This record gives sequence, C-alpha cells and structure tokens, in this order.
Amino acid sequence: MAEALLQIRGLRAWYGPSQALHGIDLDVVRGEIVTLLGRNGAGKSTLLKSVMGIVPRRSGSIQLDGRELIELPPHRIGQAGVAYCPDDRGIYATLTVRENLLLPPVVAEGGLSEAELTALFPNLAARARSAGTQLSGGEQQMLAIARILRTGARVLLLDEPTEGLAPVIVERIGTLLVELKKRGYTIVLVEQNLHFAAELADRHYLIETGRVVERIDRAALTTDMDRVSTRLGV
Amino acid sequence: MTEIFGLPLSVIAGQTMLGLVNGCFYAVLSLGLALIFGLLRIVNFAHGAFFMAGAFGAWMLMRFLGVGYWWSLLLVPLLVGAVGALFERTLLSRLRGLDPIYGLLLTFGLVLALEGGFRLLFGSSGHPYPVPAALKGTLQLGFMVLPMYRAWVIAAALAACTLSWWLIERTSLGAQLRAATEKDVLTQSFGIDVPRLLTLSYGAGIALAAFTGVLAAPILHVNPSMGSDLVIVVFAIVVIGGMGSIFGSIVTALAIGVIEGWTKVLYSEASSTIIFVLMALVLLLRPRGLFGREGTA
Repeated sequence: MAEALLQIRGLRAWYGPSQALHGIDLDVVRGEIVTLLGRNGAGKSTLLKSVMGIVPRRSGSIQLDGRELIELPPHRIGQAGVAYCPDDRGIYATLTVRENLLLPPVVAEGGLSEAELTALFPNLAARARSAGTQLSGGEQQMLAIARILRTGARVLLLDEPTEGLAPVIVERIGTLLVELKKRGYTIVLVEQNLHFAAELADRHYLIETGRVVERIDRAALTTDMDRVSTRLGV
Repeated sequence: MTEIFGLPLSVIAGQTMLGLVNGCFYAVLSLGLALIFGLLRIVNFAHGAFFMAGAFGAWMLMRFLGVGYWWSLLLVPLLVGAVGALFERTLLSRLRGLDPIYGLLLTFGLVLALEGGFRLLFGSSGHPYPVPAALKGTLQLGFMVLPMYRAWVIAAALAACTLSWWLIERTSLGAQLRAATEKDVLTQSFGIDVPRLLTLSYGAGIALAAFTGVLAAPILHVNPSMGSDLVIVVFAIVVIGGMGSIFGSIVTALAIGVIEGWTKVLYSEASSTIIFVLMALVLLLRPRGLFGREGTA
C-alpha cells in the first residue's frame, strides 16, 4: 500500500469519564475513499470528530502528510486542510445559503470556485438569499458538502451524508463523491448504507465499541456482504 | 397652546427628546451587551463600569493631557476596548465551558475594582465635562428648543448602531460572528479562529460602551457610579427585547427611553419602576423577549 496521507495511531477519546475510542489505527491513502462501518454508538462519528479536534479529550497520533495534528486547536486542523461535514449537516439558520457557502475560509489553492460550485449545485445558487435552514434536507446536505469544497482542503470527513435522504438524492451524492475522487480528494466516509458504501469505497474499516475490528478490501466486501451485514445488524 | 393629557406639547416633546437621548445610550450599551452574550455566553456585568471608564477616560485626557472631545471620541473607545480585549484574553477566556455564574462573578468583581479604583483616585462626586464648542447652542424647532449636543448624541448613537448592524449582518466578518454564535465548535473546525473572534467581539462591545461613555460625559456628571445606575436598565432592555435581534434591541432601547421620559411627567413616582414592570410583563407573556428568536434566548 502507498504511504498514507492521513495516518492515525493509538487514537483514544473521552466524553467526560467515559472512553469512546480505545486505540484506533487507521490509514487513508491520497485519493482514496475509505468508509467507517459499524453500529450506532460504535464510535464512527467520534473518530471523525477526534481527527477534527472537537471532542473534549483525546490522545494518540494523527498525522496529515507527516505533520502531527493532535496538539493543534480545531481551527489549525481546519487550516491544515482537513474539512468536516457533520451528521446534522451543520447548516446555519442565521446565515443565508450564500453566506453558509462562503463561510469556511480558503486554506489552500485548488478548491472549487464559486462558479464551479454553482454549476455542480444549481439549486443552491437559485436559493442564495434564503436562510440556510429553509432548504430541504437534500439541499442542506448538498450545501454542507459544497461549502467545504471551496476551501482547498484535500481531506474530507463526511459523517453519514445520505442519512434520511430520498434514494434519488442518495444517488446524486454518490455521483458527486465519485466526481470528487476523480478530482483527487481524499474522503473518509461514515456510512450506514452498506450497498452505497460498497459501490464507492476503496476500503472499509469495521468499528465496534471504539476499536477497529476488521479491515475489509473493496472486493472482499462484495463477496462477504451477508456476513458483514449481519455483523452490522442491518 | 396644544395640550396632551393636560400637559403642554412643549413639555411632552421635551421629555420625548430626553427619553430618546437616554434611549440612545441604552441602545448602544445593549447592543454591546447582546453581542458579548451571544458569542461568549457571558452576562457582562462590567458593561456599565466600562461605560463609566469611557466617560472618565475623556475627562482624564482633557484634565491631564489637554486632549479635546473629538479626539477622545476616537481614542477612548480604542483604549478602553483594548483593555477589555486584554481582560477577555487573560482572565475571562479561562472560564470558557464553565457555569456562566463564574463569568458573572468575575465581571462583577471587575465592576467593584474599577468603581473602587476611580473613587479612590478621583472621589465620589461628579466632575463636569464641557460640551464641545462646535455643539454649544440650540436648534429652534418651533414646537420646542433642541440643544445641539443632544441632537448630536442621537445622531452619533444611531450611526454607531447602524454601523454595528451593517458589520454584523452584511459583512463576511459578521457572518463569521453569527456562525460562531450559532455553532462555535463547527465554525472553528472550518479553520476560523473562534477564540480570537471572541476576544475581538468582547473588545468591540467594550469599545461601544466606552464610546457611549464619552458621548454621555457632557450630559451626565462624570462619577464612578454613573455606569451602575444605567446598566441595570440596560439589562432589563435586553430581557425585554430578547437576545436574537440587534434591530430588536435597538428599537426596544429607544422605546424604553421614551416611555421612561413620559412616565417622568405623567406619573413621576413610577418612572424608575415602569421598566421593570414592563420586563415582568414581557417575561410572563413572551419569555423569549419581544424580538427573541427560538434557541437564542
């Protein structure tokens, strides 16, 4: 395997006294899509938040292209080129759609321009002046992804982008992720929808009670779908 | 002469104008208070003390350095705002994530220290501050005589409110402020230095308070307790107006000033309690405040 762009070693995280991650090791190669699979409460979302530095306490090592991130405050991790899309989409009610889109500052060259985003997401341009939360669920999800594509961040952490959305929207998000992979983005995806994950991702990590219990290759998941699916309880 | 409620029109107009001037002080103070509460989740008890420090700053600059009103209007908010930012960075920021009562206690302690300090240095009695030469004299409006300085206070305060509103609602810095107010953690993950925004906003809120202090210096006597007298009313205004809307708190502040002014002539015994009666009514009927938004109160 090529050298990892994002390399996580012995990552532990706590919410108050309760430990949510118990020593996670994980590698993501540049340009890969990797999914985190697991039941509710397994620690997938906590893992993304820990990379971003937005859990109360964490320890271990998180390296981005050889640079240690674990000691940095969240905004420095964002500036280093990691972008996060939360499972609640995190759309601001007090900002217009356009303000939501333009909020994250550009941290590096190579992000999509506003014109490119408008072409990719025509709905957002049409509703630019509405309050962010007046959009439909699908549109809010598009906005949540669109706004982190502008910044030039190359590593995207997406927490359940398809949750609660109609199949036609899920399909559009799938197409979008394939397009992003083509453009060289590196994506870590938390996903409950196993078939969606199987179609898109290069590799999968199965997470249980805050630990990585299995690494599954793309091909292996397709042949082993039933077993994994039982394990996830879906 | 025209009469309303048995009072001559000139008396009503005069009280309306006095009320508007007070309302302007309330408006700029409550704006800063709401900005600070929204972002830092701190009830800034020290707001009145910084207002007083602004008035004293202008008085001290004139007394000891011979600096006039117009330079003070520019310099004092910058200086006092910088002190506020320093206070936030060194002390207040350590209380992030703790129970809001700690912030309240710390800022209340600062009130005692500031008021005590000024009292020790300059005594409790008031120091007069002259009206600048350019704003002496009156405007003859026909139905009433308007002192130039009071007209200037109304114009300057409304300009400060409009500028603040524009900065917060119409600029990208304002979008960052609103974002950090709504979801601070997520906003920081985007690479926005939220702790620095908090320091800046606290400094800006304090600068607004000091600006109001300089505006008030020629009208109120400059004395160590001038802030405490005013800030209680400003807290009531913030409760009545609700935290969600800048525009709402400005309108509420002006309205309260005018209502207070009218009460003084109609039933002066109630003039200091009317605001708190209104506050109690609003809390009973609309706990979020007149203009409050869901989840921001």
